[in-house]
Amino acid sequence: MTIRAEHPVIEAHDLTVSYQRKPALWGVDFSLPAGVLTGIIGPNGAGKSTLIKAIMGLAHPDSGYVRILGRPIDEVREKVAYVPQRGSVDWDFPASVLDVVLMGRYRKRGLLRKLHAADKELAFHCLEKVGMQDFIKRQISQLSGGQQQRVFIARALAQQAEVYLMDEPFAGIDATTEQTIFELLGEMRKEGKSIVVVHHDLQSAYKYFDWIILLNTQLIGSGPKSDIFIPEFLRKTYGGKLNMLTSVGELMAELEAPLREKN
Amino acid sequence: MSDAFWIILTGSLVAMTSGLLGCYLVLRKMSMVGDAISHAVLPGIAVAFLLSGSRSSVPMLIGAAAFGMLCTWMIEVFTKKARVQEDASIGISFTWLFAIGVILITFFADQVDLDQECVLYGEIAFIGFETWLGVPVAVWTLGGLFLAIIAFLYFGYKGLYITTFDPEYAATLGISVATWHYLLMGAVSVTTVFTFESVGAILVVAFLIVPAATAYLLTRKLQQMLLLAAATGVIAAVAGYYLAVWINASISGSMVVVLGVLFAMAFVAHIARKASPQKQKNLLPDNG
Repeated sequence: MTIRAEHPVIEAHDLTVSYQRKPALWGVDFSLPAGVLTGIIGPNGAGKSTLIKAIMGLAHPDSGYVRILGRPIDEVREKVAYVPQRGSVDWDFPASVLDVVLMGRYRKRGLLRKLHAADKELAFHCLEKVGMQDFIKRQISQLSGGQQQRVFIARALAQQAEVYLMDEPFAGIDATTEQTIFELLGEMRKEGKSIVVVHHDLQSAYKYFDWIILLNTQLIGSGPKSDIFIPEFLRKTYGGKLNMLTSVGELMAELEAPLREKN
Repeated sequence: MSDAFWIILTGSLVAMTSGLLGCYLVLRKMSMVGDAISHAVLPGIAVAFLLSGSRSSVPMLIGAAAFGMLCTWMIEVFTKKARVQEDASIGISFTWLFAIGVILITFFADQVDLDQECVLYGEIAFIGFETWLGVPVAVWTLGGLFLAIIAFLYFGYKGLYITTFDPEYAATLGISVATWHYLLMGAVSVTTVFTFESVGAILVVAFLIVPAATAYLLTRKLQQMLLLAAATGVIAAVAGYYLAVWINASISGSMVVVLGVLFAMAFVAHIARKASPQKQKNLLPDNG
C-alpha cells in the first residue's frame, strides 16, 4: 500500500537497483511529505541501505529514478545531507572530531579555499547539539561507538541541509545515545527538516517515526505510521518467521498499552 | 660540494617526496598499488625513450604517468567489473606491464641508453656526473618534483583528506572521488620515474611505504604524520649513506635497511605505548 504525499520532498518511481544481477530493490515507488521523520523498516538484506544510497546517487538504478525537492540529486546536493553507516570508515584514521565535523563545510567553502572561523564555530554548535562539544579535540580513534555516531550526525548538521538521510544511526549504540539522537531528530523536524532514517527496531520505530516505509526488496507499504504499521504489512515484510511474528504480536500488545514506555 | 653531500641530498629528496605521498597510500590501504605503479611505469619510460630518443624529463613524465594510470585503471577494472580479488588484480597488472618494459629495454638496448641494472637497482652513486650550474641534474629535477608534490598536497589537502577518510560521503557532497584518486596515482607515477633513476624499481616501494607506515605508528594526526614520514626519510638517507660507505655496499639498499630499522623502532615504541596504563585510561569511553 502506498500513500502518496502532495508536494513530496523525496519521490522514487519504479526504482530497481541490482548488484551483480541480483535485485536489491525491485520497482520501488513512493513519495514522502516534507517535514516528517520517516523510518525505512525491513529485515536484513531488504535493500534499506541500497534505497538510501540510490536516493543519494551512490547506487545507480537499472530503471526508475529519484527526485529530491523535485530535482535530480546532483542539482540539490547543497540541500541534502547523508549520514553513512558508522562501520563504513576506518576510525583509526588520523583525524580529530573537529576535522571530521568540518568536512560538512567542504562543499560550501569549496575544496581549494580555507575554512573560516565561522565554520569552526558552527562545528562547535553542531557538536553541542549531539552533546559532543567536550570532545572537539579528541582523536576519532579514541571514541566509543555511540560517540562516533554522534560525530557523523554533527557532520551532517554542519551542512545546514533541508533533507537528511541516515543509514542505521541506531545500530550498536546504547539506550542513552539512542534517546539523545531521537530527541535531536524531533527538534530538527520542528525546524521543518525532512529526515529519513534506516532503522531495524520495530518498537522504537513506531514510537518515534511519523511516516513508515516497509521494505523487503519490493515496497510493502509507505504512509503515515497508523496506516502502515499493521500486522498484515509487517507480516508481509518479515515473512512467516515465527519469532518475528511473536515479537510483532508483543509489539501490538504494547501499542495498546502506551503507558509502558521505555525509560 | 662533495659527492657525499649530493648523494645524501638526492636520497633525502627522494625519501621525502615518496614518504609524503606514501602517507596517503597507507591511509587508503593502497600500499601495494604504490608498488604496482612503481613497476608499471617502466614500459612508459622505455616507450618515451624510444619515441623521443633522449633522456629528457618531459616525455618520460608523460610516458610514466600514462602507464601508471593505465595500471591503476586495470586494477580497478579487474576488481570491479570482473570481481577478481584486488591483490590478484594488482599481481596481474603490474607484472605484465613491467615484463613488457623489460622486453622493450632488452629489445632496443642498443638504441636506448638505459640498462636493466640501473632500472632495477638505481645509480644514486653516480648522480654527480651530470651537472647544471654546478648542481647535479638529478637534484634539480628531484627538487622541482618535491616542490610540485608539496604544492599538490597543500592545495589538494581537503580533497585528499575527505576522499581518503570517507569517499562515499565525499561523493554525496558532489566531490569527484575518481578525480582525486587518479590525481594521487598520477603524482605517485611521476614521483616513481624520478626515484627510479636514483634507487631503482625494486626499492621505490620501500621509500613510498616504510616512512609513512613508521609515521603512522607514531601519531594520529595527519600533519604530524606527513612531517614524521618526511623526517624518517631524511634520517634514512643520511644514515644509509654512511652505512653504505662504512660496509662498502649499495647506497639505496643501505638506505632501505635503515628505513627498516627505523620502522622496527617505531613498532616497539607503539607496542610499549599501547601497553602503558596511562594510554589505557585515555582510551576509556566516556558515557555513551
